[in-house]
Amino acid sequence: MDPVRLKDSWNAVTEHGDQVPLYFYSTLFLNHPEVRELFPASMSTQRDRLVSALGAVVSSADQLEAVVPVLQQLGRDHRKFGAVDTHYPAVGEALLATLEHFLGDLWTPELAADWTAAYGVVAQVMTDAAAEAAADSPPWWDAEVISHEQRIVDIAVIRLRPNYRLPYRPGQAISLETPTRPKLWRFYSPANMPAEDGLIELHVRSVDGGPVSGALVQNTQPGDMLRLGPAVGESLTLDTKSVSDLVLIAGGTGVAPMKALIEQVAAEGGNRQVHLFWGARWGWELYDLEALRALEAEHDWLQVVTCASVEPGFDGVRGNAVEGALHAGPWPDHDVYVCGSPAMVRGSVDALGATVPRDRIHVEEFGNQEDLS
Amino acid sequence: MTTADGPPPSARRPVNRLTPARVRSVQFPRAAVGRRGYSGEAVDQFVRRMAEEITARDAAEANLRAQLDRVRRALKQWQSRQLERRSDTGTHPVVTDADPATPEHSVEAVNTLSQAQQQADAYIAQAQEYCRQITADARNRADAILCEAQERAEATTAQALRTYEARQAALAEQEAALAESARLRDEDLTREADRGREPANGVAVDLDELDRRLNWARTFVSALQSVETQLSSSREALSVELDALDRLRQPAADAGATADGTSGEEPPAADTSAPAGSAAPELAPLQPS
Repeated sequence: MDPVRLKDSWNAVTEHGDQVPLYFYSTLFLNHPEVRELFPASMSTQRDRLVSALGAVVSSADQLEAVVPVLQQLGRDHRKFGAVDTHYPAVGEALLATLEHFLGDLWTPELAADWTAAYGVVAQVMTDAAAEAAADSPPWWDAEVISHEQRIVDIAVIRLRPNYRLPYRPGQAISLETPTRPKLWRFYSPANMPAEDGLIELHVRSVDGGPVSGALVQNTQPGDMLRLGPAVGESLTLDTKSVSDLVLIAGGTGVAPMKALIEQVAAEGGNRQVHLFWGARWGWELYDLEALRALEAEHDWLQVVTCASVEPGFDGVRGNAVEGALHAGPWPDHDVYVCGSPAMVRGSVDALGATVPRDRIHVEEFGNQEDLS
Repeated sequence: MTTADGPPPSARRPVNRLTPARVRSVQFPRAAVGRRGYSGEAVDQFVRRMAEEITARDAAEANLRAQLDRVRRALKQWQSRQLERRSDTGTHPVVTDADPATPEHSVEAVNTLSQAQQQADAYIAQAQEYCRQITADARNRADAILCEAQERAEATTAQALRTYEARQAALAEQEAALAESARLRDEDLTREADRGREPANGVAVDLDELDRRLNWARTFVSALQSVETQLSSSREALSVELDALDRLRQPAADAGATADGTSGEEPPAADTSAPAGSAAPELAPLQPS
């Protein structure tokens, strides 16, 4: 296998942009119509994902072991989509046909051999990881909606009971699919520690134009069955080696993982001071304040500060959560956790930059893909 | 795709070509308040337009490739037929380029499916974008309405507070006046009691009776005032009349004639100008300078 030849051919192919994944998926679906049902109605984000995943593999073709962890994760994750071993050769076949189509005369038997070998490795790593994961966890969890409270017009608090125990740590995210929007998976962070009864509390905000979040807030009721994927993400979990006090900065439903982190601090003895700054635009959008005030009353190491950025006469910090935190700071020796919309997280990290070292600021890596703001 | 003077494939930088999906999901940061920037709506519109254009060009390109594919196949078939013909005529046999990896489906079939998928993608994107705009717009309006309502409520409250305070002040003034009049009345009563006109059983003072008397006294005073006004104006008119008579009498005495009683019979008019005016031509030369 010649890595340079592989990269060159890939670069030549990607000049055709979106047409490449389009051709790939159309070929795959024509040859194997049964694979189509593994994908959502709209394929546009899927195509981008395929190209960037292949690009990542190709660019490290000379040291494939570097991408092995990513591929293993991908393989495990594909179980929830319903991918099985027999799908892998079908994908390989469509990939080779696509490359051949776009490369034309540049497609040589040597190049075909390179690509066959490279794809063989990828498929092997992914199927091995999937098989390994199958030993101790189901491909997905079926979870029943136990309660659904629409706290305000665009936010619901949903409690789920998975059919098997779903292991996760506070700050991690689990992916979720609702039968009303098949094949669209979205990440949500549980708002509680793993509980005795196995219930998982999720806070869902209906993102403007978001198909899944809208359906979860508006069209979901107790008794509905959702699918859950395994827990992912490490960046918003508590650093077990650190004993520093915590500053939690949350916007809207970003308070969900913070609640779970607070529960974890309590479970570990409550020997860390915790400041939670929770912001919304209006005070009445702080949909879970009652629960947080109860936690605050229960634990003397916890302080909850509410912030509203739009409401003129708000009784609390008038501004967003990070402004509240900065006003109460500085926090040079604290571990700072930020969760909220992508715009809120970006703005907060920038604003904290001057006073908090970047490696002490924790943000989630698996945000909700519906939220583009 | 490659121009004649373009770099060779190996030297090409890896391009991440814009896809319709990436164009549709692009987010521009908002200009800071007070900074000038493009109209968000115009940018959104252009971005949507661009996504459609890219889709259309991709489709055109795909069609060209399909044609190319057809031509290539035809060429291959022609070439293999030529080869067969040659081998029939006895020339050395050449390994035929029988391609086992030839796709089962024509490129046209693949393209047709691709275009259907792209159409579906565009419809879904449009529906979601529309939904996003409507919701965002509704939220902005709700915010504006709430802000306005809250401001109006605050203004109304402030106004009500001012009115209340003004009323309180007026009431306090009235109360002070009442207290003052009560004090005066008490003084009067005390004085009356001191004078011993009423046996001052103190508590047994009939307040109603006092009020009645006070009112009567007030009425009496105001009646007196109006009488006084009338009297004073009558007095003034009278004195003017008397002055005039005085002056008339002197020349008359000089001339040995007596003034008739006309002016005396007429009551002194409030409007003193008339008699004075009528007398003026006669009197004018007599006015002492």
